[in-house]
Amino acid sequence: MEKIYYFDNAATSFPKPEKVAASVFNYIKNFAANPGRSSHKLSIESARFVFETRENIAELLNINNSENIIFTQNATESLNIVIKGYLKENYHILTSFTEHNSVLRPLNSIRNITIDRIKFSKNTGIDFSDFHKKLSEKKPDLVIINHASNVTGKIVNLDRILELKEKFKFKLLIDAAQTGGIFQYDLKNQDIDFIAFTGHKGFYGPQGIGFLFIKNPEDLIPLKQGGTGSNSENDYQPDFLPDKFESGTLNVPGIVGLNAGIEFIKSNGIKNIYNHKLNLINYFFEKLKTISNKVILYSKAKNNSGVISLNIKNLSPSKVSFILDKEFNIATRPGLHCAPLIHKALNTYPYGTVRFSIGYFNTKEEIDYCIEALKFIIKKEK
Amino acid sequence: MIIIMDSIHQILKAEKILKKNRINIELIPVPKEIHSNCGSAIKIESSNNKEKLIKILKENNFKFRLFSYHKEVDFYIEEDVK
Repeated sequence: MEKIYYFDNAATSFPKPEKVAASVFNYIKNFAANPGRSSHKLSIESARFVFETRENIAELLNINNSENIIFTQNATESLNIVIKGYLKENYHILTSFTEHNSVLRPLNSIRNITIDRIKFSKNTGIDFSDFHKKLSEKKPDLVIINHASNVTGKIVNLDRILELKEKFKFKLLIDAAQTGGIFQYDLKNQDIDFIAFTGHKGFYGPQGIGFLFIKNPEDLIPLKQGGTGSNSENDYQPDFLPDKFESGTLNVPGIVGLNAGIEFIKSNGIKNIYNHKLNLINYFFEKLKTISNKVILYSKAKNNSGVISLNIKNLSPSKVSFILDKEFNIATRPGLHCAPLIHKALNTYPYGTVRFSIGYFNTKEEIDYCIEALKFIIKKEK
Repeated sequence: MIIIMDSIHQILKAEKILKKNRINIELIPVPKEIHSNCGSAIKIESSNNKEKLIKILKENNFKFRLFSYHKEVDFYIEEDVK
């Protein structure tokens, strides 16, 4: 197959480290018994893969007890578990304009709750003075913040959120779909009640595996009930972790692949991975300056998770993205990126933007090629 | 001695910690005389380490039940670990 210039890492990272595919293959070929359901050797070996992955994640995110990590399908399921397991009638939710549909839609499916949104800020993602003001006016039952926008890449300052949490004492759900694997979380010391991750983006795992950190399991009613391999004599859901939230056979091939991704991050170092990405982001922004009169930028280099959202003046994002793909083999994502509210705030609704999203395996040469392609499109479509 | 816990996660976590403390253990299916659970249990051959074992498990906040095998009645009897 000819070379693809892959710039859609905010949707899913590609390529994956070699070991991710190799470990999934090895597991399926040699170990794929049901974990925790029987006690023969293979079942225990399979359970060990799950256990080791949980322990590895706990170490990476500095979590005391690995059982507070629940395996899910993706960030969407992680967010649904919290939103639907926590919210009750008449609850008041404070959230932001940068949220993805994985938060907006579950919230809109719940009746008789009130939702308020913190003002959008181009520089900080959320307007912190408005956040403060809203907290002083009415205490929310839950605050939901997207740690980094998948549209602009802006990473919101978590320390400032946690300072407000200390002052106003609210429950906090963080959507870490875009920041997992690049931001160094320290969940022993950062007071976050729930944090939703996916495995297939910054952790370089396969699709279909995600996880959720729950500080206090008694806060949530599980979304699913079913077989856990434990307490089988009892026809009620167990209340201990992780079984309370993990019914049905787990996606162990996904978990094994995720573990290889976590190992990749550990061996390279989360800071080095982010710095490497940051170099590429800065390089991209620097190069964009050469065509700045024809391009409208919606992202900034500072505190960026790896996303460059832009439009070419007088050209629709879908057309630009199509030409990039067809003529240049450059994979980008046009449109609204499942986050309609931030596009309204950016005045890019309903057509959206063209999103280039950078991963660990991109190179400066590939960025040069993107800039040349953009120049070509600008010239040709003039 | 046999130790049972709520979940396979707890069993594997205990296995990791006990092995680190050089206590020889083996994972076996939960004996049906103890519990109808279909999961795994920890088997410890020697009862010499009993006090140390209980101390380690308690220090690490494990919720567990401990059974000793009594040859004379061919039965497991639960020990008071509180």
